Amino acid sequence: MTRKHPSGVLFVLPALLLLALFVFIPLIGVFGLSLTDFDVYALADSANLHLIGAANYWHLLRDRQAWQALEVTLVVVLVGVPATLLLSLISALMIESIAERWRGLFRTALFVPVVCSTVAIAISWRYLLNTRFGLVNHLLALLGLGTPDWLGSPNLAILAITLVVVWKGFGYGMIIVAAARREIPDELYDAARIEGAGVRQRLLRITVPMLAPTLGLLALLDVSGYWQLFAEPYVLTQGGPLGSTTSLLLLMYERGFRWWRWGTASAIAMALTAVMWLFAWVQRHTRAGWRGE
Amino acid sequence: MHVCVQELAWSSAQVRLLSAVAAGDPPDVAQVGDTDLAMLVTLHALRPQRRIADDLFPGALEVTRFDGISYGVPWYVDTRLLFYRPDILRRAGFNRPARTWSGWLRQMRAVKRLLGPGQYPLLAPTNEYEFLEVLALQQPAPMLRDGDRYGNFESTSFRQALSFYKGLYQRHLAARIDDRQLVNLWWEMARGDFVFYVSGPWNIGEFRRFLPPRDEALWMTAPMPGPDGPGASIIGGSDFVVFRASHRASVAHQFIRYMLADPQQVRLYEITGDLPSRRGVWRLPPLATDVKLRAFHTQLERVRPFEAIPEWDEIMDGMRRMAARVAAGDVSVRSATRRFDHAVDDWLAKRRELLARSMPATATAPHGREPPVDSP
Amino acid sequence: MSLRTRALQVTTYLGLAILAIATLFPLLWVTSIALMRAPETAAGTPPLWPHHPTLYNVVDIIRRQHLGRYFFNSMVVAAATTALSVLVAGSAGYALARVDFRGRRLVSWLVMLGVLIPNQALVLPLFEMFRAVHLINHYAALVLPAAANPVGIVLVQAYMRGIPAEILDAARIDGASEWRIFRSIVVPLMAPMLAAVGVLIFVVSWNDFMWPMIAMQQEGMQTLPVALAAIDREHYQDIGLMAAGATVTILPMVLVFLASQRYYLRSVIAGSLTD
Repeated sequence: MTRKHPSGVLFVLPALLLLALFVFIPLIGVFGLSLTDFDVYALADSANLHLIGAANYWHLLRDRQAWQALEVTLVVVLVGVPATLLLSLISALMIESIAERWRGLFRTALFVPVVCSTVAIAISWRYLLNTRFGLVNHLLALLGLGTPDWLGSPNLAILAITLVVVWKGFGYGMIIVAAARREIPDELYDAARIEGAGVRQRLLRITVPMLAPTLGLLALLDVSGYWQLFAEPYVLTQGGPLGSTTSLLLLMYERGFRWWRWGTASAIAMALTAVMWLFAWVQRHTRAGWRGE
Repeated sequence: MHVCVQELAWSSAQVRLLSAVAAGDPPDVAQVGDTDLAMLVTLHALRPQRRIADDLFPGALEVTRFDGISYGVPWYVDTRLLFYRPDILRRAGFNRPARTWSGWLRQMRAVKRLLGPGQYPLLAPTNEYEFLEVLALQQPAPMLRDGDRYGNFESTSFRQALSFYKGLYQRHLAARIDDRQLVNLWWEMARGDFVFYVSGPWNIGEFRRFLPPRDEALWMTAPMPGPDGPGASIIGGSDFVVFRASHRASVAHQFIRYMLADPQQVRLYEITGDLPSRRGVWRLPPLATDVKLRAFHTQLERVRPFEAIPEWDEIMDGMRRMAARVAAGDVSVRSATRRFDHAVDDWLAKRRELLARSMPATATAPHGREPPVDSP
Repeated sequence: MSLRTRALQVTTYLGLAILAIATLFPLLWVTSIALMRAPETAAGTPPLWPHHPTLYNVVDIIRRQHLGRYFFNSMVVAAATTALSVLVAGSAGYALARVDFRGRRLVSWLVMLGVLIPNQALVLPLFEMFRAVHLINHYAALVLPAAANPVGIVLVQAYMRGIPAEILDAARIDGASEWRIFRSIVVPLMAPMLAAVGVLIFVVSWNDFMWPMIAMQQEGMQTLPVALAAIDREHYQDIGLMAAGATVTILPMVLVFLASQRYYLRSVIAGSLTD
């Protein structure tokens, strides 16, 4: 049992202070900035700063670059998250089904990309995916499969970025799914086996439904991460070709820190946050649905 | 004289200086890039400069002038021109690079026949705007109009430059790659993957660093060809400025004079490969003896200033994105330039507003879009 | 064992082996390139293995690009961030789980809200705030915002909920002060989770990119990934040099992970079970 202890406030005070200073106040700050025309002139002389209401948002609605960035980021989320979940699920189930002594080895091997610096990873993949000299195309050419222009063609570049993101991310989900898989009681499987259910039926009737809440949560974690895509396109493609890999965050960064248009940049940041909340809301409600079953 | 030096990363110098100005605590002297200069002048942060040397490249001096007053002293200069493979050009039947666009096109077509698959006559990376900027500057009409208040990209001049640019990519004369797709540009040049390459002075040092001395004859430099004769190029580089808030203006002046003296300018070249801003220094070794620098000297005498306004970089980056779409065939030159003019007008809105407020007398430009201007 | 189960098992091992090659190969290849020099690296696709392994690139990037300095910055920032985060998350997570005080629900709710705010969207006002107090280009600009990490709090909170409250109540009846209970009972109890959170935060801090790039503008103050990206912008054509840089950036975290795998994986798992 817990009891009233006024000193509890002291324990949470540092956390509260940090959260207020570096999360909540900045959030209000972004919103405030998004209502102004803060730019390089205002940075130098605050007399050049004006409140302009929702003008930045209206501008954004007519901004082709912003729409393209939204599309790019959505593609990465909508293609990347299911791919990651699937790969996490498959690899976790595979690891859980092999002999104990091999598990650690494979778990480590598949997890390593997760702890690697995104910048370093992106640099490495840029050389791997180089159209003319990359190892990927070298292998494809040996197999007679042609040499796709991975980072030079708009449609492929976004897929290449997604590939790198998934490659780096799936190990994280694998560990979580594997842990959840261990929580499923063996009796369920035994019972199913007695009733004559095959491997596939056991997978679809027991494993996947039992893992659904975990996968739902993972989906939210992955969405939250991929929605903030930045370093990969920054290093791999600089947002090109033809803006096909400029994510929302990259666009915000360019508007904000290359051209000092903080008003528009802040409006982009607010839109990014709003959509993030929308994702969280959807996730919460679909998961509640699963629970209700 | 004791000098305190603070090193700033190029990418952050602008905001650091702006913050310092806003806080009323700028340094006495700073070395700033051209676009930063425009910003600082707009903010009335700089002192007008006295004449320090008689032999500065006029083009470099011109971009430091605002309303006829110079606010910076060029320290080193920068331009873009052609690096090329003389041997391949000779095999195609030409002794030296053409001086006109049409001649250059002829050469590239001839060279193209000698090359294998995946090799291109021209490398002008699609993620750099400088090449198109050069082509546009060679045209009579400027890219902005009415005192740099509106875009002028729909003008015949710019459309001609953009059409030439588009043609290079659509006829596969120029490689459609951004520079990140190059693993080792200098080896690729030496292998003959590219015959012409539009780039700047630092590449002289890079070629020598990456290629063995015996390959020195495999590359050469030449001035840019123009629409109908030797072409102009852009002028870049870096200037010394003295801040209005400085109390040591005369000492600052002395310091700049010292930094521009022959030995210091030669030393700068030796250490960094940056090109001296004074013509006189080019008559001294090692600058005078290096054949590959000659084209740079020629080109530096033939430069055209860019529009020195704070938004210039942003406009050029937007132009690059627009041109990439045109080169990809996604959009016509006509509609791309029209749309781009609207975007540029948007970006310049605050500038127009500031100009109207601070200089009501000169703010005579009509509001709203006007037909593009084609006379300079 | 039936033929089918046997076949399934072989497929499983094969599948895992392919995945393991896919994850490890790019890392190993980059390490291999780091040990090569031109012309091996310059003439077309670099080979799989250096024929004359050399540390030239590694020495080159450390000497000419001052990578040691950035390595040091990253270490200081990651270590300070970890220490502060563990302290903050430990005390807050404990109190939210096991101490009743006015406003506890509100604080819990705020922490959960914090999880849902994409922190990279906050860099613009953060920059202004740190500029206003002249802390841009100081370690504090990286450490303080990173320590405002709601995930760490949530992890500790969930872990503490799993520990029977009776243990603490017994101590309270004995009249021990809250601080004493925290120090001598709670901290040892949650040490494994604190270790897990610590490793997690260390790795995240080491790899963080966007905000460190914005906040550390001065030469010599950048962290390793930021410096690496800056070097990359100038020297991307020097594949050997960049491969060496990537290797030096990646390797420490792989070692940290291998050494602390047990704790690290626990925090990853805990992150999924909090709710």
